[in-house]
Amino acid sequence: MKKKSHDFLSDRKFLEWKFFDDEELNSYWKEYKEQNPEDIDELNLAEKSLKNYKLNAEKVSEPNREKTLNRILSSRDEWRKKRHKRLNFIRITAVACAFLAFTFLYFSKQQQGTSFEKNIAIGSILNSDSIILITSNETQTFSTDINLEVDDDGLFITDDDNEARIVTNEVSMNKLIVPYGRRSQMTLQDGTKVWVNSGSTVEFPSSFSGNERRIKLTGEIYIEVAPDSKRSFYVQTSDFDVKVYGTKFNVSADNRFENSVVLVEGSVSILTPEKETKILPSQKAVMNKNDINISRVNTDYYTTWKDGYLLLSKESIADILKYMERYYNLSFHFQQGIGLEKITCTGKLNLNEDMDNVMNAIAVLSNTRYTRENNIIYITNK
Amino acid sequence: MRISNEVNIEKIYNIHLDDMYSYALHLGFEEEYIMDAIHDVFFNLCKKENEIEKIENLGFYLLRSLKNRLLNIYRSKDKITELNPDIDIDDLPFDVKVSIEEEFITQEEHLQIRAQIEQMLEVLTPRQREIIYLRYQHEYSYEQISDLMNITIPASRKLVHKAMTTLRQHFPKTYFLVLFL
Repeated sequence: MKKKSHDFLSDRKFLEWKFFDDEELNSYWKEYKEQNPEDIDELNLAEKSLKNYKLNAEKVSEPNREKTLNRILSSRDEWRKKRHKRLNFIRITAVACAFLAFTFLYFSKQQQGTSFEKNIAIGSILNSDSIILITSNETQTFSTDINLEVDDDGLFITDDDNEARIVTNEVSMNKLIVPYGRRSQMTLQDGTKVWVNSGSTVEFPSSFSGNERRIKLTGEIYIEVAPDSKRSFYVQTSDFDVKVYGTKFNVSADNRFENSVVLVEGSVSILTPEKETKILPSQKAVMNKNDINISRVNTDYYTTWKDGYLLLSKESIADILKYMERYYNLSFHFQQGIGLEKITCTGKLNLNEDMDNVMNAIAVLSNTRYTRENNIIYITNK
Repeated sequence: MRISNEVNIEKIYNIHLDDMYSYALHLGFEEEYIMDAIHDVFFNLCKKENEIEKIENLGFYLLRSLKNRLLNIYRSKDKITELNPDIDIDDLPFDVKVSIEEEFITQEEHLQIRAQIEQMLEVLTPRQREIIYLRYQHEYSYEQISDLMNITIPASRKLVHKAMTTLRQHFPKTYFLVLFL
């Protein structure tokens, strides 16, 4: 008997064939068509009719449709304005970079033939550069200290008078390189705050996925970790990891100077390949080659750099110059026993972007004289 | 000469909005969050306006972006209230509603066919229903589906096959009858 299209439509085997992608059914209907050529027209019609059946064909209500479209368009317009600003920003930065490269070259020439004899300390600037931010999509440079915030749309960067947005992939890693003499602050996606000290590199994700939070560090940071009992926070360095739950502490992972962790609040563990060491608030752990030394410290001395100054309490000028070396990437040349260890300073030393201001302050505090010719620094006794 | 992007975004929005909304709604997301996520997805698309032409299948791209965005919104919501553990896409519901676009047959016949389809899909698991929906309604390839459902391509093929097996277990008789037609 010749079939009508409706017969097919109410045949479960026909419906299964159309809804389930099944080899067996495919060959069954192929065979069916061969054996019943008189049914082909109606079968085709049934196939066509079935196309009128839709699964989950919901419609957004008219007011909602319009409201959301308007929101999208206004978000876009605002973003376009911001992007316009950002383009100007990059141009300014590029000019600043060119200038720094120039001073560096000039210094190399000047250094030859300098006499060290008359001076008790001579410093030279090793290098200087812009803050660099590398994301999966782009690389940006900034000529002033920045404040960076990670949110759902990517990275939002502000400095003294500009703001910029970088859209990133959710899983991608980003890298912030803060050169000597500069600092930056950032807020990670989980709310953790990180102050990045001069001469440091931090790698961080746009979004913490999985059951742990992890950032990588070379250099020094002060960090206030947002509490999250389910996901531990790790600061990973080349020699050790710091595991935290919710706490404030300072990590210095700079092989040229000191690998240390100073805990302000909470509880952290230091993980080395050999063991796990817990430290308490107001303790400082110094990682040596084979062991960890723990001592009690006034944490203020280790964390005030984030607010832009150093707290000094009878620090010898030699120690301060050491810090200056680290902070501004200078290199001081002075002989032992010429009294720099004996001159001490007490007070607050502002870590200015302009190194001359800092050196002047040291000179005043330590009762020495400071002069600078281009990139060579001379410290003499008064 | 380039066509203004102004027109483009609106056009893309109007073409794909209902599909995006339907998929998200049947995955059990709330309307308010869906519309927020749709805003975010289209705003992100605006930011990539120069790359839009390079996107191969825009409808698929939007559906995938929406799902990811919704999961993120729900995850961050969970994080704040700390009520639920991480949202698992395997636990999302998926219901199917059958509707007809044009009345080409009598109401009675239509209801009968619709009931048949609904009955067939009802016995499946949510993930089986989701994959049948994506294949039938959107005609997505297994590659696209594996991307969207976060499973491997063989696993997505297996899921369809499993759906068929589930169906046969529920309606063994029907099957026999048709075999000897």
